[in-house]
Amino acid sequence: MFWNSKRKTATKLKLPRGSELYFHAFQQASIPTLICDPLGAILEVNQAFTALLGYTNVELAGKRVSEITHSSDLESHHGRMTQLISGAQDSLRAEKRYVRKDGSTVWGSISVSVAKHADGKAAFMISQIRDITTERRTREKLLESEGRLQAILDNSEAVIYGKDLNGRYILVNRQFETIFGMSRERIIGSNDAEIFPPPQAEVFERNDQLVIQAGKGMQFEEEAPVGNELRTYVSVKFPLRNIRGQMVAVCGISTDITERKAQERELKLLNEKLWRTNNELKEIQLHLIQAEKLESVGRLAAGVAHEVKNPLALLSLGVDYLEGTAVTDDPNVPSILNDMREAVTRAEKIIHGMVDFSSDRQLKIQRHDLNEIVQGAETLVRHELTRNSIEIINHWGEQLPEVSVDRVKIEQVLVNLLMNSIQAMRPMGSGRLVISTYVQRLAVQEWDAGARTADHLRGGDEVVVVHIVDSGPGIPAAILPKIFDPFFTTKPTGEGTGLGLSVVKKIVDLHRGLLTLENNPDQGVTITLTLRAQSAPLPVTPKTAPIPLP
Amino acid sequence: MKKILVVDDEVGFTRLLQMNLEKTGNYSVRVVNDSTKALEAARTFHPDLALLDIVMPGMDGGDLVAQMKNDPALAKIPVIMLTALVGKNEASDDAVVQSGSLIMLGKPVRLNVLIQAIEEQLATT
Repeated sequence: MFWNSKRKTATKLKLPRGSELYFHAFQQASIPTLICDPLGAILEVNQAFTALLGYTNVELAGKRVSEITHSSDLESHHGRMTQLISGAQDSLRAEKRYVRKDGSTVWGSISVSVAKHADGKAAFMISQIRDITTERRTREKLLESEGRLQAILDNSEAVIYGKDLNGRYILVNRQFETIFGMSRERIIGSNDAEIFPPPQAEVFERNDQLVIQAGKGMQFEEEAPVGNELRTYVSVKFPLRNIRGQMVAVCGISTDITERKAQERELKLLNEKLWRTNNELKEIQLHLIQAEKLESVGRLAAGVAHEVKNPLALLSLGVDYLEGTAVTDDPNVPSILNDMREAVTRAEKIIHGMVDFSSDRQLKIQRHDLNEIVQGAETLVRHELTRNSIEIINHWGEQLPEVSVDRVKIEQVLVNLLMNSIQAMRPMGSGRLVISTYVQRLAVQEWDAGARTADHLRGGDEVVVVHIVDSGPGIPAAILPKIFDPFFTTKPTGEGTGLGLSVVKKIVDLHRGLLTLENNPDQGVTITLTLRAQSAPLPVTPKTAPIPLP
Repeated sequence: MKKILVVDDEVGFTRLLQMNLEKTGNYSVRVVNDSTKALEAARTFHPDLALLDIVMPGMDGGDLVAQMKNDPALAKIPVIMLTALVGKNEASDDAVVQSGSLIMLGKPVRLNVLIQAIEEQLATT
């Protein structure tokens, strides 16, 4: 039963009454409303409803609700009708699609209620519809956009996540789920403390707080447990803001840099190794330069020696001639000739020293008793000892192992060392030399670490030691480091060539021995000469370039 | 009077050597500064002893000794080598020195040492 338009027009003039009043209200209501019988046949629709679907009243008359319902929603529509007819519910709400006359779809939020007969049976149903098409579209677009975003996040190799300001996860990507072995459902709504071990969770939370406080993006290096290992990540964390610019969440993108870190460490180690090798090379190069220098100095020295010795020979013979003649009244002539003689001798000594220092002649190595060599050296300086009132005390080591040395060279070393001591004690008018020999096992020393040559003396080697202690004034601390330098001397010009101790050191080095000079705490100097005992075979002396004769 | 042949390219040295030796009155000295002319001088001078330098331009002292040993007329002349070379010890390892008929002296040499060596060498022949 439909009210016609004529009656409707009439109502304009006077206040409608009774059912006419309700009918008017129904017709004019802005909310699209439909009334149907329990079987779904449309009984009444208002103007708002016809406007919504584009049908006229007449066109809708006799149609069933299912005919204007979107095919996808038919099932749920029938379900709802059944609910209401059966009396299980008096009203319900739902969202459904209607099909317009032009075929397009309208989304409606519907509120359906049942009007019942006195016997309780359903008489008709009233559906009020709110057009939510725009809302639905927006929501769909949002979902679509979110879906795209999620797809991008899910396909990232990095671990991506978002947490609200309370630290609860609101977003994670698939990589997060895969790597930490947790489902999205488990993670969302949890905080770090609930899903990670305390040490890591604390760091994550602290870093998030730093970002919140700073209000801007920051980068951190973080460790996270993956399987049984801790992996290293570089995490870029930044605040997420709403449309009003308020911070609402902290988002993070974490990239696994464990391998890179390992490579960096490896690279660093290699770099250090390279640096060390480079330094060693530099050291070796220095040694080579030094050796090269010595070799050329050696050649030069031999050449110079030859050239200087010839004029010296002439001078010497000249002095000899004049000494034999002596036909003069001048009383100064003998002393002048004597000075000239000494000058020639001095020059000759300097040349010998220079050649000794610069030549690397092969050692004539033989087994010797070191006590005998020391005795030989003492004999050579006996005259000097007596002349300077120097007492000598020997503590001879018994049953010393033999040493493999060039006897002449080691004797030269000892004479040189003894002469140095004697000269140091000379100004004191008297003195004492205590010379001991003994065998011992070399203690492990710091030089072991630096000694790369296989033939170097090492801790544990059996050695024979000569220990010389004098009662002289000692060596001034300032010059102690320089005593082995060639041409370094403390003696007045003429007394020494400055080659003594450097030659001594060189000879000891050639024997792969050790030589130390130390000041005693109370008085004098202690000299320690250490040579390998024969029980340990002497290494082959390295071949050095022979000095060509000029 | 013993005749001594001196072969050395150092002119000043040989002059003083000659003066020193002849002053003793015991020696007659012939000096040759060019070693290539030494053999010829030896054959004509008939020295009782030869004093030879080692390092000389032309022919060195070692070669000179070897050639003298190969010449029957000169082989028996005792020789003293005078050298400014360093390390007399090395030179004394030389085979020629080991043969016994040769003495090696280093420069500069004291006159008395040289005369002693000359007398020793002369005594052996």
